[in-house]
Amino acid sequence: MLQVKNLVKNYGSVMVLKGINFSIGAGTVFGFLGPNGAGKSTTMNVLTGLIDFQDGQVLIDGLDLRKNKDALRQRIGYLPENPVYYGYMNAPEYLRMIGDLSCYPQKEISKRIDELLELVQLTDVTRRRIGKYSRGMKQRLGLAVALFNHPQYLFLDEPTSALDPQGRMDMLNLVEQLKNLEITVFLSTHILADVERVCDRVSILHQGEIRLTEDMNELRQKFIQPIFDLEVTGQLDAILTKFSGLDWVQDVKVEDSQLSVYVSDPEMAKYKLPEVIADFNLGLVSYKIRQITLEDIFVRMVKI
Amino acid sequence: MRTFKAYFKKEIIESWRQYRYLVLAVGFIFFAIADPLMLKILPTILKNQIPAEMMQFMQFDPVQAVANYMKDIYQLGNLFVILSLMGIISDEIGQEKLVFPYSKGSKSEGIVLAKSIHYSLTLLFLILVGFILNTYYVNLLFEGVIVGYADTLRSGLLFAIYYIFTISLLLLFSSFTRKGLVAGMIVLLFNYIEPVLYNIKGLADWLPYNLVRQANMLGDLNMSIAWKSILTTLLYAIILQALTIWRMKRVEVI
Repeated sequence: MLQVKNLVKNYGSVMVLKGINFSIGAGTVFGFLGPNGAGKSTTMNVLTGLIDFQDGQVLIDGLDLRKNKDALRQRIGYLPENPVYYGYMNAPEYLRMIGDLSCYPQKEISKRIDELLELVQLTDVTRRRIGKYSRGMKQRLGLAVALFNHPQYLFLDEPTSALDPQGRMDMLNLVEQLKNLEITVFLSTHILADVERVCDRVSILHQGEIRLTEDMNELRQKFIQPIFDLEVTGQLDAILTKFSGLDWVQDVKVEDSQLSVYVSDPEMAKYKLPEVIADFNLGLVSYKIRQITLEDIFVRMVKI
Repeated sequence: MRTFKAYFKKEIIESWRQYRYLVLAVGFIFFAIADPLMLKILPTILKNQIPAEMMQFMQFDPVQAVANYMKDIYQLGNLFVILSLMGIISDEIGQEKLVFPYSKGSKSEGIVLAKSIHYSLTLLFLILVGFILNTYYVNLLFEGVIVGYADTLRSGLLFAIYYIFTISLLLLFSSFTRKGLVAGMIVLLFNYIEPVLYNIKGLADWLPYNLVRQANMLGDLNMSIAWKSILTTLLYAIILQALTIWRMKRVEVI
């Protein structure tokens, strides 16, 4: 189990992580969401022991990360957002080096290299230097590096953000395979569809604070309230002012003549919204109730 | 030990594929051959351009020819070593190449010692080969008292220890910056200031540059003074490498 308690990280006077808390059970695929600059990568770097933190505690299987960094690194695999290699090496040479660094049994290194290259589908390019790899190939090699020492905890920082659709699909398939191996996966991303597909639990980080931590199923139930999508004609300024004064309206997003109204009381909204529009003499072109997605939840959380 | 082994192997692959061995070999071996040849043909080249009475100063013996080589490998060798190794650690930190190794539990002492020992052995080999080749050519091309291989190898060893100190200095400064050029310029400045500091009474014996001065004495080398300089410089190198390890345990690699 991984537990993060009141984690604080500063860069000079800038507080990047403002005392965040969460815990992840063994074998969970944990989605860590947040807009750019929220502190996701910083959290990853702290949890993998690559950077220090000012306050708080990180416990992995009950062991304090600060006091047991060397021992815990043997249980961790990390794929950074932009993996950097020694570009003049080829993949087997680099993986052999990783095998030595992670104190993998000497006699089994070659076998493990073959297994991993097979898993990440790089067996055809073993003689090519890594510097000549595409972004997707580097990302897949990074996963092989992260998995080398059979980690119990795997940290993936935006693993699909730079991949083409096929590459993204392959990476998500690999993550799904890891579930069967009982590996705890910490997946940082801003691609919500990826989280919806593979994650069991999710946290939303915004401006260095955790806004939400929920199991995916509970999240869907809890935030199931619909969104009212309206297309209207006429001047919108006055009605927007009116919406901001209504206590059952949480938020309104405007795009041209399209309004997306987020509400706290869907039943009331069903009856009151058409009335409000009629009061302002606006033409109602379309009226649709949309079920909420993770993207909608995300937008709401980072706007609070 | 596994980190040391992995990084030692990595340094060999890197130096080979990125032509670092070639650059360093040019710095020490090319001049070992080219220097005596240039000295030999210099009077012929300048024959019509300088007065005849000056030509007598253009006659070199083997000892002077070796001294000329030592002058060059101090001045140019420093440039070759520092400019090709200035990013020895800073490039790895600045370009985030240590993220995977550190996340896999690599040991700072293994990384620092692998780099230090690899380049120290490389330079020791190149310098000794350079001195052997130079001795062969100066004895072949110039008339006068023959220079003994034992004398030049002893001088070569002193030069190698001087460069081990330079590598240690580069390692330390390189671990404090993400730009190799900054570390390189600091070390270059220090090495070129050393001859000036050498003139300060009481300081000369404690400077690594004393090894270069001792090396220039060839057959007249006083080993009791040289030993003091050798031990002092090696002690400096050990302290510098210990500080680098200390620094690398605290550096944020991402």
